[in-house]
Amino acid sequence: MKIAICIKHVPTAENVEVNEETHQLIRDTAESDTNPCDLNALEFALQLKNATDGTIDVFSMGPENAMASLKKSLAIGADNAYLLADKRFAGSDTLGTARVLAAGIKTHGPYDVIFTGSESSDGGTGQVGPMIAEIFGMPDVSETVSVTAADGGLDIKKRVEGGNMLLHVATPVVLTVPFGCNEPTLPTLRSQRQANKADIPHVDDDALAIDDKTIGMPGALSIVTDVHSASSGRQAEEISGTFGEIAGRIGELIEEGRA
Amino acid sequence: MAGIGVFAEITANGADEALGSLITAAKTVTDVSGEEITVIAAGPDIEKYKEAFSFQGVSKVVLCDLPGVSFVQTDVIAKDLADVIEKSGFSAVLVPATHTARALFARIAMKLNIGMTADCTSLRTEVVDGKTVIHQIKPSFGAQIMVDCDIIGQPQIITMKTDDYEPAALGGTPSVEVLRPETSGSAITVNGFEEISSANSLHDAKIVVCAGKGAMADDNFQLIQQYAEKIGAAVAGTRPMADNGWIPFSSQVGQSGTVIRPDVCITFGVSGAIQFTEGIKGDPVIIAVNSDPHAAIFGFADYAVVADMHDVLTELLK
Repeated sequence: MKIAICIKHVPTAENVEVNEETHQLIRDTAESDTNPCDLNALEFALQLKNATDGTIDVFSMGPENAMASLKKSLAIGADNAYLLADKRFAGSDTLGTARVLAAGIKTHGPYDVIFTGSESSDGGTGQVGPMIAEIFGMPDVSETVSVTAADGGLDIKKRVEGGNMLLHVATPVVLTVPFGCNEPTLPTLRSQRQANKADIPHVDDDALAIDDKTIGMPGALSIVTDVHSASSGRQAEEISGTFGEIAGRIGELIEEGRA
Repeated sequence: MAGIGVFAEITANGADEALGSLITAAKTVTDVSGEEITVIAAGPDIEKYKEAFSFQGVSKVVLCDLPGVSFVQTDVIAKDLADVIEKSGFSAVLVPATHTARALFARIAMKLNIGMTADCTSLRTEVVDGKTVIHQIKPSFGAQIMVDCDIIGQPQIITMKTDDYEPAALGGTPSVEVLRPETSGSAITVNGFEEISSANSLHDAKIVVCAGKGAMADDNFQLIQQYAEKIGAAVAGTRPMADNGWIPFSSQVGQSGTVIRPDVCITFGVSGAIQFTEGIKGDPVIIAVNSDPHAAIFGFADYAVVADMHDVLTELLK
């Protein structure tokens, strides 16, 4: 089974602040890592690879520091990695991002399965996976929490309220995977060291046959006009006093709430 | 049928209860723009929802009857809904920010090449040169940041978290149009449903004690467990707690975990990122213990205890 997976290198959320004057995000670029649920998606890709004697190709659109996530993926068990990097990609909304990733995937495809995480921890739209499916005319299953090869296709569990839908889907298909549905394999020191030596190709806009008007800033239809610190305007009532008094008040509140 | 479209999601459990709130959000737009509200839905036996969709303020209900099509077959439904939206002349379509609805409309956005925002919590509408302009406000990067978004072109697709809106009242008299498009086969087959009961015990708990990253230090988590036992509460936690193996993933509360609806929720060492607070529904009394007076959780909780959790827990266990 030929498997593709899209991963995103994201800033770790807690380190993001807003410059009040410029409304720009202050990102500590040193503090970034692979989007958490992408590792859950990679875990399913590994399971399918092992069960079907398959291969995994990893694609990431982003700046140079995304190399860290690609190398991590290789260390975990992916076979090939590609960094889709070009200043013309910058400013893409979800439509543009999906087009760039799909173009990269198309160059090395066709694939039987394309994985993405459910959503990124920074933008959190959850749109890119299904958009890629639409570009390829493939079905998509969101909230995939289990996947096994069966009867020429895939048996899938899709998480919904109260349980899992049991589905069978013909390939090719796009699957999006939520955080926490499996335990991701981690790189070993040795595999990471090996992966760090890998020569990961850069793929730029010229290598992909995309209409430049549909990606980057020119293609973006969703525009951020302002960014500001959130203040809910709401503030909790403080419980103060000695620890004994605090504990007493908490006890009262629980009894009131329980009643 | 120009105006504002509102998508009524139908899942295995029937019509999504967020529809009423979504209509209230739509009214904030139409109050300014003077447009009409149309509810759109697609699925099998769709006509039975006619009355469930008749909210006050809704002018029209458009039902796409798709016999035998499951809500998970987004490859089929996207095509039919895209046709409806393309012909509608809507200036915007409001969509509940659920996993399946957002996947469905992401496909539609790509199919029609129209802009889409995600997880908006409020809208600000103005009319500029006779055109409805909807500014969309959404949280991003955890709890701390709000982003204002505009979409270029129309129709725009806006997925919304509607917790802040009161549901609209039923009892309107909209006109109803039933469409019966030809459907192609889906690549997805539904074979059954597997109920998960383990998640439900936390889901149904009346009192929940939530542990955050701060609970990883010393014997804090042990104290939290003892305290939960003392007061008969369920123990839950944030994603870092699950990530690091302190709690099972089924006990992780938040956007990517379980949703809880307790009467009382006490958090220890929880910073209050929106990915976590999204998992608490139903307006419980929330008591937050955190040593950081600036923790975002204090903007979400009802009661704040600014103190070291170890001291507080020790006292609570006496």
